[in-house]
Amino acid sequence: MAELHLLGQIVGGSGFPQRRLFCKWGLQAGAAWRPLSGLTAGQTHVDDPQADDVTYWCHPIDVHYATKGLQGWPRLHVQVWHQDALGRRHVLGYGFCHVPAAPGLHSVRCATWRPLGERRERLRRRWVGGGAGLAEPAAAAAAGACDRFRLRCEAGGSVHLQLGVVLRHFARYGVCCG
Amino acid sequence: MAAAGSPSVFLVSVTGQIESGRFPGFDDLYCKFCFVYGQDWVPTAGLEEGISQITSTSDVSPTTLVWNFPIDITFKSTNPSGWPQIVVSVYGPDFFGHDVVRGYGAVHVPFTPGRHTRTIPMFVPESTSRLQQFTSWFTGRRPEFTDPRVVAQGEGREVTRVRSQGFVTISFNVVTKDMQKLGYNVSPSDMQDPSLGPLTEGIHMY
Repeated sequence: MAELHLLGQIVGGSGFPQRRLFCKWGLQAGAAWRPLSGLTAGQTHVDDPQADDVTYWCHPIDVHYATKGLQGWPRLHVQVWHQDALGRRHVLGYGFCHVPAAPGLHSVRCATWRPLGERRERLRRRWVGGGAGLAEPAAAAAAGACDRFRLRCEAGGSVHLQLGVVLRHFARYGVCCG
Repeated sequence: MAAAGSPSVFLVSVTGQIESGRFPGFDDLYCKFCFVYGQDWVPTAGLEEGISQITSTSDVSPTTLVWNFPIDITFKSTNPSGWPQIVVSVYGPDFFGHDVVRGYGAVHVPFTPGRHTRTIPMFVPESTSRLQQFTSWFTGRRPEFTDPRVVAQGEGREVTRVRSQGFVTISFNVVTKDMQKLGYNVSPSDMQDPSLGPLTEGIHMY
């Protein structure tokens, strides 16, 4: 079986309208992929940056996959949430990116979006806070999610990741990666 | 070096230095480092921990604090899982002269051989309640982690609130042995025509 090691960090987020953000993340992969060790989901701390508007999480990711096939290459999905001064939380953006298919260290910028909601909901969000969110955020990362065409969304900020990929035995099976 | 028939372990040798730091508003800082690694890893040579000198800004360098603090360690492992991370903690005096933490940060040691520079953001834990924030400001005792190694772990981070305030630049020189023999590919040049050079890497901070 071929193996993939994902070693990296969720570095931080930028371009979001608020500070005091945290990120929930998760890894999904197809049926041929089996996580052998490491956490495949988690949540970062809440950071309130002092110097600039970039939020830094530096959340380590260390996952070891074994695979029998190429389908269902692992995907990382992220949700960026804001925690306000009263302790309430609401989501600012959803996004996903595939784990890079080439060995080495990659700087990945994952763009995020959030559901727009109706006009009344947008007004409420502006004055009271909160907002519409997805019922199943992880499902939005799956390829072929056929319900996406019903959504109206607006762009959010970006999540910056440093993803390092170490591959093992892929060449033995004739697979060429990068 | 004696040729091994079929290696079962690979070695990773890391040298380098904690070059400098930028902490606006803070001065007279020193840093500590330690390595956090998985259970399949064992350090075979070098120092796992260290404390630097106390440094301050100067006329020629009004914003950057220079430590130039050496790192030299070699690991042996059978599995890239648990790849070592360096955890850096920076401390400095508060108004009363006590040493308080000014930042924690962590980054994976690079796994591709060569020279790499990483600039890592540093953050400090924050109290969750306003009353605690006031008493910590008043008494000069601010919250800190009991073990800085928690910064290199993913579990339990969701309950902490932090404030990022500074950066530390670290340079690494990484040499590996027998990773390719064990079937690991760590850079695109491992998998394609060896006449092509490896991709260059930029600074960790964006």
